[in-house]
Amino acid sequence: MADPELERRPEFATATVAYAHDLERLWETSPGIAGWLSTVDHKEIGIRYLVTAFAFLCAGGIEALLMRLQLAGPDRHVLGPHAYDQAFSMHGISMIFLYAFPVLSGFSNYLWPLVLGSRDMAFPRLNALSYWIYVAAGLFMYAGLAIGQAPNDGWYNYVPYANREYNPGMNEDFYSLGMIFLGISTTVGSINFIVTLARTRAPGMSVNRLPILVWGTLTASVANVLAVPSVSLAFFLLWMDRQFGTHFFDVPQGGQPLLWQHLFWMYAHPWVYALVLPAMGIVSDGLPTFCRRPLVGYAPVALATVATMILGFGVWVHHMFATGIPNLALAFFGGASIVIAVPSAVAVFAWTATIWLGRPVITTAFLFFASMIVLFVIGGVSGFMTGSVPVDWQLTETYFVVAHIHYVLIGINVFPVVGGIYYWFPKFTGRMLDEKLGKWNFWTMFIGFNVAFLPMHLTGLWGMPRRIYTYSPDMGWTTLNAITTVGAFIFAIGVAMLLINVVISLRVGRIAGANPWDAPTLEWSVPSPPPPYNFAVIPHVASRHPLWEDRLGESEVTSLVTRGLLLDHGRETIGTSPLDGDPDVILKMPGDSYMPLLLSVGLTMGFVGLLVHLWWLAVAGAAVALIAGVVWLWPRGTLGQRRVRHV
Amino acid sequence: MSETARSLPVLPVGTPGRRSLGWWGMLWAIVTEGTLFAYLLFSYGYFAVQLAGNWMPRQVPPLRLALPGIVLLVISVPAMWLGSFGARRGRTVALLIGLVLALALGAAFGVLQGLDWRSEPLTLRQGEFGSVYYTLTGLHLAHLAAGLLGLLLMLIWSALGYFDARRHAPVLILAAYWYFVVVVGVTVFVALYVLPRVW
Ligand code: HEM
Repeated sequence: MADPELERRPEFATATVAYAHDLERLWETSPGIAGWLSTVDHKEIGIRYLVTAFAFLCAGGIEALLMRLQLAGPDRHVLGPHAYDQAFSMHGISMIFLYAFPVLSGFSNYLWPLVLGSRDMAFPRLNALSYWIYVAAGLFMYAGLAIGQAPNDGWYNYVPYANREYNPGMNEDFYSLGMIFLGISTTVGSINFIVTLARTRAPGMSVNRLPILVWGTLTASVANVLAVPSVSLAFFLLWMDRQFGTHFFDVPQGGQPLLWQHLFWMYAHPWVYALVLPAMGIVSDGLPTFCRRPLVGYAPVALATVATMILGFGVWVHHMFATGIPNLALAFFGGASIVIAVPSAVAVFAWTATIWLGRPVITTAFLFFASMIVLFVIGGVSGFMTGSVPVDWQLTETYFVVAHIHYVLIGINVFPVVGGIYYWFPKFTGRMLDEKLGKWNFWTMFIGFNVAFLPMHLTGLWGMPRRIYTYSPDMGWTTLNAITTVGAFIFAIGVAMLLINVVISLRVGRIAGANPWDAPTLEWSVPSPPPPYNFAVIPHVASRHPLWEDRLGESEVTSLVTRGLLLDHGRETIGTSPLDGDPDVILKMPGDSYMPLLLSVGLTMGFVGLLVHLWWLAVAGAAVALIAGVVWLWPRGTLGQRRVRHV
Repeated sequence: MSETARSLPVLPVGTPGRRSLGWWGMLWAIVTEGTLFAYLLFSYGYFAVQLAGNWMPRQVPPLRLALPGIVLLVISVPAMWLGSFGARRGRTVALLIGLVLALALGAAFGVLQGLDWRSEPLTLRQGEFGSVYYTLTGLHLAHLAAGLLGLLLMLIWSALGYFDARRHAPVLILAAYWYFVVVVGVTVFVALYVLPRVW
């Protein structure tokens, strides 16, 4: 027999107690601060992503409430014009970059290995790195706010207003460097998801058995890999213009402001889909559990997810209809913007049919998922309207657009996310969230949201421009704005209820057990919360609903979750072929490491150095990052990266 | 009962060549870095179209140093290939020779590019072309530096005898990256040194 460190036939059996004990020892994170700083466990990282993203949601929410206080009536003085500029910019940045996407990464990080039947993500250390950089980049941008120099040109940061000439403070430097920094996190995170999907699934987990959440995150990740460089480049060029006098966007020298808009929207439009597709996946996977039947139209929904993104790459120009671009371009991109409604409609029909044909159990999670469909339709219709060029010329830069953004983002991101928390909280923590408080939570958020944002469409139609810090009483917008402010506060109370529910339920919530909702997918086959190694034996997947096979009777072969591959020669998991999920390698997984943290510290030093022009600090930061990187990549025998020595 | 699960073949363990996760990660890293350059070239084209003709400096960047530089960079490809061939066959000598050659050729390109910068009358602030020229070559140099560093590490690791015919994924991963750096180098050369001449 050959060397078992080079090749072997994995054993196939049931886990024994002693074996599980061994695994526990191999995979557990050491307790205390050391473990906290070095862990690479995807579950821990996923939870951190969720908690951090909610912290940024609250920060962005406070900024929003301040704006609403300012706009509650005409001529108020809560925020002056400069403060208001920073408030809406930081609100947009927090929500779009620091909450809406990372929160979905949180779910995916936690859930992917569990739904795919694996023991960790493909690159556990990269996962930790992606988290640390995300936190550091978020704090970097918020540091600007702390010293009163936060970004102040809206989240899409148009030049020439962002150029140094018009914006001499550090505001835009915080934003430019912060976004390049954050881009690193997004990119490595996305590559991690793609490779995880391609290579580390349980045997039998073929592409037609993947949960829709996986499709959503995968699509978003591929899009990010292709789109993030565009915005990083845009911000890099802007920073060069501001600091080194290049002329990319500098009009008198022939610079091209519209180039900014192209680079920004080539990225930002796909990004908007990245904020919703995984969230739609949460609904597609969660809703069926509460409808007691499989999702209607799995294949069309999966394809629609991918199709939305492909089309999403072709519609960036619809943010620029009012910039005087050629008519042919207007026609093309207007058409594409309307066609993109088709795959969205597919998803809506699939969810509606699932509820219709199922036997819905009205839990809090169900309410959040089902209400998302309604909000999606409203947001979709207003988007469809602005997809039409002449209508957009009327409505762009008014509150109609603000209403649209919020229907889309709160409707398709926040509601599914909160529903997802209610759905998976038992898996995360082993305890149920309180359902009674949950119902209050739902109705408060739902009513508050609609009170705030439905009238806002009208505010826009009556001509109120966005991004103004106050208005005069003769404009006739007073009542509508007052209603919106009241609604905003009701919504905020709703979000607070969620947080209260989480805090209480962590202590006294009902014990959940492995599968409290009687749900069909793999993550529910392991204890709640799952052990550090996730699966004692690597399961074998034979259908889309491994835990419902007995009642659905769809397939003749059954999935195996208690008997499977034993892998315990160190941290191991199985590597499978990209399409069919056939095992082709036994992978060695890295253990906990400080290097991701150290690398992030080095990068943070580097970016701070660039920001304040302390070049020695930038160089020192680069050196720290380099050392961390070399230690990280040093080939290790335990990972099978270097020659096996026979003694 | 699922037969496939039971009748598993003997599987390689660890980080075997192109089945390793690192190899897959590198492919995607190349995709994203490649799009970065694509967006920059898009911007270059955008300027060329919008500013139609009157954005070129009076003297286009000279070929005196750039041409030998790019030739040396291209020759580093067979050198790198020799290195990874050596790794796959477990021939450490070939591996080492390949790595040393690739390192020397890559470094020579870097030095020539640096000299080119110094002798170049164009400046960073001189119109759009100057801005694009330095950004594009600068970003490429940054990627080259990462590659040279990788080559240096790989040389150390190979000299320490870390790799053999079964264990050599890091070499293949680095080679993929290196080819990417060369392809970008050639593209940048065509865009900045050749196209302005044929327009
Ligand atoms: C309590 C809930 C919220 C309230 C009251 C609120 C309110 C506002 C207000 C007043 C503005 C600025 C309008 C202007 O002056 O142009 C705004 C802009 C915006 N909001 Fe919200 N918002 C809330 C939640 C969210 C969420 C959850 C998201 C995203 C997930 C979001 C994304 C945005 C974006 C992208 C902008 C545009 C920023 C810009 O103009 O650059 N908001 N919101």
